[in-house]
Amino acid sequence: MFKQNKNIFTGLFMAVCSVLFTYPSMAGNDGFVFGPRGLGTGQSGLLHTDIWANHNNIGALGWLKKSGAGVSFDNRYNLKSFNQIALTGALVSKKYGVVGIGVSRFGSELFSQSKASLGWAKSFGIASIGLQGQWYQVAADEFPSRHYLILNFGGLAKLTSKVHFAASIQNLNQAKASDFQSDKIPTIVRAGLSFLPNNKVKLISEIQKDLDKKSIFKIGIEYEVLRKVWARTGFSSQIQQVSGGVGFEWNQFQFDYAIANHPQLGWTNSIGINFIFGKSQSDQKEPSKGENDKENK
Amino acid sequence: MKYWLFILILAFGLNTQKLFGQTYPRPEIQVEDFIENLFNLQSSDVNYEDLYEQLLLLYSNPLDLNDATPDELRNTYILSEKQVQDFLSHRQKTGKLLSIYELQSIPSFDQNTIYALLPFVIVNETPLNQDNKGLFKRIAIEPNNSLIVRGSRTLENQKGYSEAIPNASGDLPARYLGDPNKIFLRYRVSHVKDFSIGFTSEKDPGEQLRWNPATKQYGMDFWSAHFMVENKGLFKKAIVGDYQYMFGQGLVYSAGFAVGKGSEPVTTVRRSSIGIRPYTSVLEGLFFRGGAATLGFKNFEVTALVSSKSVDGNIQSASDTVDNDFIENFTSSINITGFHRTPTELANKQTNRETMLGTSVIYKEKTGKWELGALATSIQYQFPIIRRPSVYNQFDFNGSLNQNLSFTGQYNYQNFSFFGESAISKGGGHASVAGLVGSIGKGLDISMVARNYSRDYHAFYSNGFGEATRNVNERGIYWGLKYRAHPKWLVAAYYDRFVFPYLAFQADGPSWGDEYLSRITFSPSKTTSFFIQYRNESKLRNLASNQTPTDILVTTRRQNWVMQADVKANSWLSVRTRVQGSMWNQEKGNPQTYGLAISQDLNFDFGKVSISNRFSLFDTDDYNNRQYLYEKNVLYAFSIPALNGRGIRVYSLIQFSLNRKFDFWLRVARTIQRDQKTIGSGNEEIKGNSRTDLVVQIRYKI
Repeated sequence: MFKQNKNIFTGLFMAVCSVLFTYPSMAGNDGFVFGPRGLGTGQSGLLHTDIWANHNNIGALGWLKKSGAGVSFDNRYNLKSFNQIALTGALVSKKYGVVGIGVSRFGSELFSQSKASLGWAKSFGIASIGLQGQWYQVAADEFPSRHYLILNFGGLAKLTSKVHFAASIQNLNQAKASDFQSDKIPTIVRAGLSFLPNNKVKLISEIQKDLDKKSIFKIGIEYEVLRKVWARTGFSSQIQQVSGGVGFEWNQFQFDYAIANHPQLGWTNSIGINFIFGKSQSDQKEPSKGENDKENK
Repeated sequence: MKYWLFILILAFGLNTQKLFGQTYPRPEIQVEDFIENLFNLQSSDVNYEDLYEQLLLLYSNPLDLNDATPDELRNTYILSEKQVQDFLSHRQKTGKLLSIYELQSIPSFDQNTIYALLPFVIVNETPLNQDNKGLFKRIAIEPNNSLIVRGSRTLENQKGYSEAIPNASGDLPARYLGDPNKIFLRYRVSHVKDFSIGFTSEKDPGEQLRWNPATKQYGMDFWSAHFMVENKGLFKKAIVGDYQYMFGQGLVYSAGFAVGKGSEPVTTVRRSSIGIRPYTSVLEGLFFRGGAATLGFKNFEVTALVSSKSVDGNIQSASDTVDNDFIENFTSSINITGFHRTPTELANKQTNRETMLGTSVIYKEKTGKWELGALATSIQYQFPIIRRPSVYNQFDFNGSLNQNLSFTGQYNYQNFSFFGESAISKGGGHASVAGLVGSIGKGLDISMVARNYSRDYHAFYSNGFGEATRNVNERGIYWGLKYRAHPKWLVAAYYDRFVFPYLAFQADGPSWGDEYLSRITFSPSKTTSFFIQYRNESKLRNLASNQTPTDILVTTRRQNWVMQADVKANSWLSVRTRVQGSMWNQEKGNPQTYGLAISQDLNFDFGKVSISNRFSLFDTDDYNNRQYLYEKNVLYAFSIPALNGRGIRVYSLIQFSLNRKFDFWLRVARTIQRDQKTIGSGNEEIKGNSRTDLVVQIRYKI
């Protein structure tokens, strides 16, 4: 009975994967953004200077002002096998920069990807850079699991107070997945610009390129509707995934939720909680009430 | 600067406010420019002439700022949500506007906005209905009236007017009964928020000018008239004659008018509940004929609609399978082109009676913060519509009775406006649309719209937001953004993703796609502007080069780009250069094809006489790359030819104002395609490589 169920699951999994493979950069788990904030802004996490930068762009972590830790849970396309849990933590030192650790696991007992990373980032003047080492394990049912070491690099420059630029390279060392057809772990390069016309609004554009696949263009917007309440929405072209989300801050806690829709695969949900040591987390999430009033009245 | 100007005006205005307010010359509406800013010019399946007519209806009456409702303000498509809110609170705080110049004192009203708004608004100082003259007296002395007579024709001989020669099987091909002249008449006298009376009449080329009640010919082919009064006691509006009705977001009644996706990504996505409107157009299908009235009780507006009109269609007969003596009449479709040129078209004229009844209730909260409305309506046809069955149309309307029930609402919160409508039709089809427009920063506006229309939703007069022309079989979500980063720079963009769960036009299977557009406008001075625009649309379509019996859906991509420069050189000369092009391709299909058009305008304005000229050149690989170019035409007429092939198009338009009563227009347009032996197809075909159109128009203000 169990065996039969397993076969059904395997079949289902293969079916979904075959759909996924036809959409650029959605195969496996490598192109995805981590955390509901990034998912809400059109799957774009490159330019968010929050603790989830550990998973999205190690360079952006350099701008973090308060230490913190968070957890998020994703379910993709309402499939059991497409769950992901991720943890993130960052320790800020004014002198030595930011040290971040991240752990995640995607999949089920049939197929899973586990990652653990340790990184360091620091801002110098207008720019920050970060470097990360990641242990990456892929396990498939009835096959021996494999693990790799991956290097990630990223940076975020605040060109002006309103325009930020960021870029990251995932799998700098181009780790090989197997010798068979020189299969490689995807190397993904991202670059993006964000524009902050006022203290309440953040517009994000990002381009993501997996060396072997078509590029994806992402647009996102985050708007502080009320004090410490954010609404987010965005989309990614090519894969035509649309998303939206909300977040709010209560004392030292931040709660975020995001939902996304793919025209064929359906719905993705993501929920997360962050705890911040100290009152506010980063520059972006620091509303200065006075200036807002000037702008909007 | 703005404030100094304002203070100066105020200083003058204290003494001469009447002079200022009344003598401000309302600029002429530059319709081409305005429409071009709203519409997505190169979209494939939109009838621009219809849209233009509808816009013109909307703008033929200027809006009185002291009296304008929020919906009317939004309906200009010029003001952002913040500007609407700011204007309303300004009017509430300081009372009625003394002059149009007062707009400058509202902080969010920048110069660009004010200039854009001026052609469409007035500040009326003499309150209406307060002069003691009776209605008929007021109508008799109203200066806002005009009679327009227009004649036009194609100078070359078209096949439809030639003698019919029997074809191989001995049948005579159909030819037009009438002459190639087009005649148009319109008279209208109206006063904003008081009354409107008018008639419109038209004879299309090829139609007969003949009195014969047997064939439903009454001189001109089409006649339309209305008499409307506003704000008379309990009656907010009452109309007899031809009218349109607009409710909610247009899922049931849209008054045929909708802008939708275009170069203006924010203000156009929201429909305004403007209710009853007189119909003065000549589109022979999008109106009701009968009577309607809106009554206002406190915050409630109750509307009753009655209409009965004859529509065109080929009535066929089928005998009942059980009882052979019982003959059933039906029609396979309703024809709304309004052409009655050939014997067949004439035989199908006004063959089916459409009867409409409807009622709506709208509750408007006192401060305008929110409103809710409901509509119930039914449309009955004398002869049922029974379509030829196919996979494609099996969820379309069949039968003689359709009923709709709809709920709508809107809510304003800070600088945001939320809106939505949800409707069902007889048989269970449903349609819903919801969205928001908002200002989230200085000069920064956004919009979002989500819609879901089921494949079996039926509403004959709907025109809600969407990708497809009808509100059926579609799900989608849209984002728009507009940012005036600087007084001289404007950025506008949208993204739309849509899914057609059932078969759609040229897609024999479930399909989906997305579309985006962005435009950057740079206006270094009041007299100079430049923009570039790019649009990309990808959707699944049947593979055109497919050789197999089964259609294959492939990603079909259409790209358009435009660059345009406008320069007003001095008081009498302005020039415009426009370059536009397109690319079209199908995945796994034939190689990409291209289209290009370049146009150069030279416009002279010498006060009483103005002359507009254009020379344009076009070169397209195929019909998928046809180029649409807006052209100036005589007042209230519109021209947007689809240029296809290789050739040259030129036109010249002269306007001459004889005195305050008489204006004349003359327009000649010519298309030359040297590599063609014939132009046009069917009865419109011309032997030769050129086509010339002539238009003459006179306006007389009585």
